[in-house]
Amino acid sequence: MQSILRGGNRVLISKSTNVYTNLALERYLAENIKHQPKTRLLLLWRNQPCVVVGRYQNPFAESDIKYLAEKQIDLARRYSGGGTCYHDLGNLNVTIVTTREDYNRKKNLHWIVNTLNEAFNLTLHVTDRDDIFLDTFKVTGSASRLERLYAYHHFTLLINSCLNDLRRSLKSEDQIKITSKATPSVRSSVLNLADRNNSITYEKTIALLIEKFFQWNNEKNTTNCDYIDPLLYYEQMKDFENELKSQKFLYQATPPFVYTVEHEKQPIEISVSNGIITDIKGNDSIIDKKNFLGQLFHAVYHNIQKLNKT
Amino acid sequence: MSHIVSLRSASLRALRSSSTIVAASKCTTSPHRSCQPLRKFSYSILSTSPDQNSTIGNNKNKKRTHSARTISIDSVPDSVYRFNRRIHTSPVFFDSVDVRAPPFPESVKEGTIRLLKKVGDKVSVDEAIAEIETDKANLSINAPEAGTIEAYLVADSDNVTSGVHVAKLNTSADAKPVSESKTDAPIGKVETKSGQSIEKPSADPAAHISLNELSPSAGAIRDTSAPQKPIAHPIKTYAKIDPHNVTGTRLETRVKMSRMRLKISERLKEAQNTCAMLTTFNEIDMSNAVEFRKKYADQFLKRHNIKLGFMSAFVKASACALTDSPIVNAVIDGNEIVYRDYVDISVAVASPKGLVVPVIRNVEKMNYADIERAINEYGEQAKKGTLPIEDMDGGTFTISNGGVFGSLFGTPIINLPQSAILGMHGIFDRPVAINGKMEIRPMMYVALTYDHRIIDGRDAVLFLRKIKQYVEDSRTMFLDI
Repeated sequence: MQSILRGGNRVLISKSTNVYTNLALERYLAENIKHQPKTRLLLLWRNQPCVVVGRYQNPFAESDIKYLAEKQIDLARRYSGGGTCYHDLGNLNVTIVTTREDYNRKKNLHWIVNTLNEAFNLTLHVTDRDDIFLDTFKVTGSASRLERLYAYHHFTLLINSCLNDLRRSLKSEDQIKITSKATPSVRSSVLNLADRNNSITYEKTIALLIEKFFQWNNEKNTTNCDYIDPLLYYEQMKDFENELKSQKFLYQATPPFVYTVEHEKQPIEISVSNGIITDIKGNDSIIDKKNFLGQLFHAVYHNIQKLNKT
Repeated sequence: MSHIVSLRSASLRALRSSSTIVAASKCTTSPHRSCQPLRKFSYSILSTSPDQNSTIGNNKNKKRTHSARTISIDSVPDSVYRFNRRIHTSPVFFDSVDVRAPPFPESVKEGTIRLLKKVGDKVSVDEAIAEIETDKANLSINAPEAGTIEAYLVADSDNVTSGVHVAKLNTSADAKPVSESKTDAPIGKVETKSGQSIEKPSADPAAHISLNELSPSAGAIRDTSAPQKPIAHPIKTYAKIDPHNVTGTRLETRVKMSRMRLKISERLKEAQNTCAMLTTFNEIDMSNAVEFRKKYADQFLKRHNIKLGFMSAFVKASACALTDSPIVNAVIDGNEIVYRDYVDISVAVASPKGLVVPVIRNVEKMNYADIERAINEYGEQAKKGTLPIEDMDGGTFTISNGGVFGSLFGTPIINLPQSAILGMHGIFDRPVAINGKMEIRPMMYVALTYDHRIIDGRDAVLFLRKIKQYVEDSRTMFLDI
């Protein structure tokens, strides 16, 4: 069991499609594997439909929380920075874990672009924001996390995702109502790789990436590729997984923001810090402050929406 | 580069009245200046007046930390005595560790810091104290040793650059948690550097020597005292505030002008300094134009595949008026007036990089469709950034449309080397008197700024009236009246 934490050039494919499990697995492996210099760990995973926001983002500003609840789309916050993305089974997640010194996003992205362009006859290119675009459409967004001893760079790859659900989930009406210093997302039009070349499938892509990964790292031992069932490591990962699932991390890790509601033509400003409503500015006679002050914002979100209607 | 250490301030203030103190100041070297282990020590004498103290910490590096202000002065009485003895005798070993932002990856210049722990929290070695978000990468700042967080020198969500002093960690075992309330308040005023100072490597306090790397026997690592109270005279602060947010904290932020902005300001000033500029106004009744456009919009779109707008009406009207008043189409060169027998009109177009002004050539020969097509093409090229330089050069007349933003009335500035510019403004419904009756018409104010050196008032007014006539009733262009 412990050999899962050995270093070297390796490929691991997660058997789970639960976003919280996969994010916990990613962090667990990154923190505990003995990374060797000049080697990389490739982690391939995908999730059931979910929306993943960046570490310091505001989920209310990035996605339609009500729609997510209706359609039972998970909402998760990851440990790395950057913007929000929508995952489903047509969206491949790739994580490349290295030592801190070997961290290089551009190299990773250029490898992917070259591999995919060659194999599937595409015209992908890397932008200076470390995205991958196909013509004017985004197919990949990146994010990373750097710790003292290790660093990981992960990115998504839209192979065959449901773009309608993507757009619908990431549409937020609260965006204009929220002012904060949270990381904003930079929105782009997206495209599936399969739309451009309909022979591209998830299976083909991961087979291609695994093969090319070892070539890229000049690794002769190409057997270092395993499927990993995160459930086997549940004990070790459960702290991370519980944190990722907790309401505290999901909602209360949002940087402080002000949510403005229009109630009977008067603006009411609700200040939220650490997920708790700390202050309400507005016409006192209209709203009953007691119901809101000191409450968790996401818990009373529904009632706040009702205020907006009148 | 931090010459100021918190707990000293109180003790030194106590000692100040009694004697002058010789203190060693540590000049931290930035990595590109000299080799690492060399630490220069300079000695300075602390005088008794607090104002002078504020300048002592200054060396060539003008930017200083104001960390002392953020620390509340309630140090434990015991430590005062400890300092008392130590200052006179042996070098001081300080239990406070500087925590700095790590080097940023991939030549990123600055990031946003998010504080994870509060002042007074106990942290173990390598535990994450804060995270810096740079360009979609999260960097974690870990505690170099176990201890208690004494103070933060930056506020949550501040912009920081690599190497910036972020926090102070108290590693001594009996550290009393500092009271948080006072320390958090003035946190805004600290030494986070503006990311724009890239051109001065010496300004970047990129010294990564934290105190715990220095052994206590390495000599006097005492830092010069901080100003004990907030400086009386207003210092130009070096705190970074968001230039787009007016929060009223009475701070400034300096942002270097971009090349484009410098160019624009240069040309505008040149125009003002050369021409004798003044503006004449008129108003245009747009009802006919609006009706005309509505009537033929679909047909036009079907045939030419582009939308029929108002710009073509104004561009063509100006061209006709210019052929009628050649002096407006002319320009002064030295002591000669240069008349041109063609009309090239510069039209302002918005591009992602800002405003660009491509030129439509030989407008006197074009019809509405040709003009719309040209404008459209330029718009596309501007969006893609492929506008060739030759297309922006020349031009005998400019039209600027402030109406898209809702402007009512205004005076445009001449675009050299031309002699006049037409400013279009917004179309608003207004009550006007027509044949003795009041009617509501969509009206647009137009402004013609002209160079009085060659265009007289009479010419300018008549020119503008011609434009008005040609726009209000486009048939008059055929009558040549």
